Amino acid sequence: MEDYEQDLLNDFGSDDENESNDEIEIEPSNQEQEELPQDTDVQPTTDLTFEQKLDDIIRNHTLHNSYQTILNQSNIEELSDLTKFSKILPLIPDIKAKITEYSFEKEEDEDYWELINSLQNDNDNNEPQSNEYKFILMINELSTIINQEISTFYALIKLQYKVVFPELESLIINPIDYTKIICIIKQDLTNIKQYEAELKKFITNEKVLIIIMAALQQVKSQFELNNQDLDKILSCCLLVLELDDLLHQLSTFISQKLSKIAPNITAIIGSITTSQLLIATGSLKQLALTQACNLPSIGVRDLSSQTKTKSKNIRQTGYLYHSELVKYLPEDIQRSVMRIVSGKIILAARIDLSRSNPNGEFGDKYRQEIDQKIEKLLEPPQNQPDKALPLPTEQKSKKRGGKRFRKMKERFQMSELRKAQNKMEFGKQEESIVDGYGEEIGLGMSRRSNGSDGGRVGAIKVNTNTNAKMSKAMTVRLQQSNKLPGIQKSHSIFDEDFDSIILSNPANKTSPASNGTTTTSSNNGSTSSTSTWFGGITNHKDDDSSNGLKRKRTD
Amino acid sequence: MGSIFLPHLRSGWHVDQAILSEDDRLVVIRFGREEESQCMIIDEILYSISEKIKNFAVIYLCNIDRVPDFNQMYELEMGDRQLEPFTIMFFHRNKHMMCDFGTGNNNKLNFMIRDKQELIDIIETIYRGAKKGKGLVVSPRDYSSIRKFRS
Repeated sequence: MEDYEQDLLNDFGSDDENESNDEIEIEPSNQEQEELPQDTDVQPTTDLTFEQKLDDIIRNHTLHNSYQTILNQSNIEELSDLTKFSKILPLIPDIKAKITEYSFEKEEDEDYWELINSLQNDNDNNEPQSNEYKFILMINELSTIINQEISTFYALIKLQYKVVFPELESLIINPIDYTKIICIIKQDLTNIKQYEAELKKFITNEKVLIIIMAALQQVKSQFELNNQDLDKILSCCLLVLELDDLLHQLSTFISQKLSKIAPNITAIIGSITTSQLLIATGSLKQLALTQACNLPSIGVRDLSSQTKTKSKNIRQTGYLYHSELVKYLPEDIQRSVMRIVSGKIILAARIDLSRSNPNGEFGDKYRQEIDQKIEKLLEPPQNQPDKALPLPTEQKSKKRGGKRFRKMKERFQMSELRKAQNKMEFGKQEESIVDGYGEEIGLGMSRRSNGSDGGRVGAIKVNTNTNAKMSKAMTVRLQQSNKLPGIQKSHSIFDEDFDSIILSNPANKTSPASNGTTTTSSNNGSTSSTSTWFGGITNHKDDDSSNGLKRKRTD
Repeated sequence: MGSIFLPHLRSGWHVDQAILSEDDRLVVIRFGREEESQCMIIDEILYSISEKIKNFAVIYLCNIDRVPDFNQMYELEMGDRQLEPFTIMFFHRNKHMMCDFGTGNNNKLNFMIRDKQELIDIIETIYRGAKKGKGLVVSPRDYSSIRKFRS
């Protein structure tokens, strides 16, 4: 038996990782205190009320684990009845009674809703909560404890039944089915065929076949347990089944309640997740106020790096992630499904809050939409055939010669001057200039001269194509702006004929001797110039004569 | 294994009809033995591009053991099997198209080309030449050193 204990310890280590991440270390003194009532019996608490007892269990649960308690027993093999370690068992009748009480009570009053609402309205919770609401809250806590107890006793059964039929635990992974099978076949492996019909009621035919074959193989090496040991196992089995039954009752109870409170959400995500979400947020109103993007984060066990998450891609492994709808989907679409679902849940929560749709039709509709979307996401990507290449026909290029195209090309051509600069005259020294950076630039033949005086640039035709040009639209615009009256004056003075004003001043003409030499020379030019200049002069002569005179004086 | 979807020519008559019937597309015929690995590889490559080039070329396969009619005319079985695992020939309107690959044999493509785009380019070049009425085109790449790389 010692090695079984060792096994038990090993199992414990591995099991606990999965089930309870919050294994709290208890100081020895505390443990002693807590253990005393547990060890003797649970009976001392009977005088307490039902609520208090439940409370106790929930509070104690955080401190210990029933598994641990059992393990701490020094004389584990001498104990006849392991079921007394169950903390839930003595409470089962009470819980059941409560469930029936509340589920019937529901029919007559609608005020449950009101009560919940009143709870939502005051956040400080000064008002007494309704018993029913408290009970629902407790049930939620309780379900985790029950689950844990089931797994605890399942482990115990496995350890003890191993000697009879070790293969069974690997064949049937579901603990409930496992215990049911044990209840049926006990240790009668030789005549297992008799139970075939019974087994087929709750497991598939193939599984039954496998079990029977494995059992018949096992018969040779089977170890016969005595009646006492077998009774011990069977009592544990019954306990597990009872706990499972209770769990079912609780979940149906909750789903019943929830279909009243939140019919649409329940239709989308199921009662369990709905209750988890409602309890995590506190109320339906709070849930409706929650943003959809925050919904997947609700119920994330812990954000520390301690726990192993199933996938690297999804960090938000909250209630939504563990819901039936999302859990079994492939990993790569889980995240997008969660996003879709959370959006719909919030919408449904708002519908439920307004109570406009008590039958949950909207929820059903949303659920259909979600299912369709999931279908679509699960579809494999379409295999698109290769697109045929276009026919390699040769087209002549559309760009041909033409006036505009030629002009455009000319604009970018090298000018004659530049070409000349790049040429060198044979047998003569090249002239050069130094630019602003101190680089010497050869001028080549651009200064091609007639003589030795350096020549003139004008000998080579300057490229006029590159001159700045005004577009037609621009000239039109300029003309229009000239017509504007405000600009007329200044424009006429400074822009157009500034030189001609100076040159054609009548006062200047009358007294040429008073002016400098520069003006005289220019005067000569002006007098000899064509009459177009005079047209400009006569325009401004009258009003600007004094002005022009002043300017002359300053010269 | 997609190459089984390419049309196989089962007799000399079929080959003739394939070459004759196509009006404005290039006819690419692979002569060879499907059981040989090199031939299998080129078949797969041909299949993978067949959909892309369907606007200007059509690919047929022909087993030279089952259809020995052309072995003499096109010199299909003359060379070493190792050196010439298959022969790809090009036809346009019943005219044999030649292509200068730089290998010395302009009549056919008888070396492995693993790059699909290269093969598409060759076929396209031949098609362009054929459209202009040319009988010989120059391959876009030079394959004169292909034997060296292979051995």
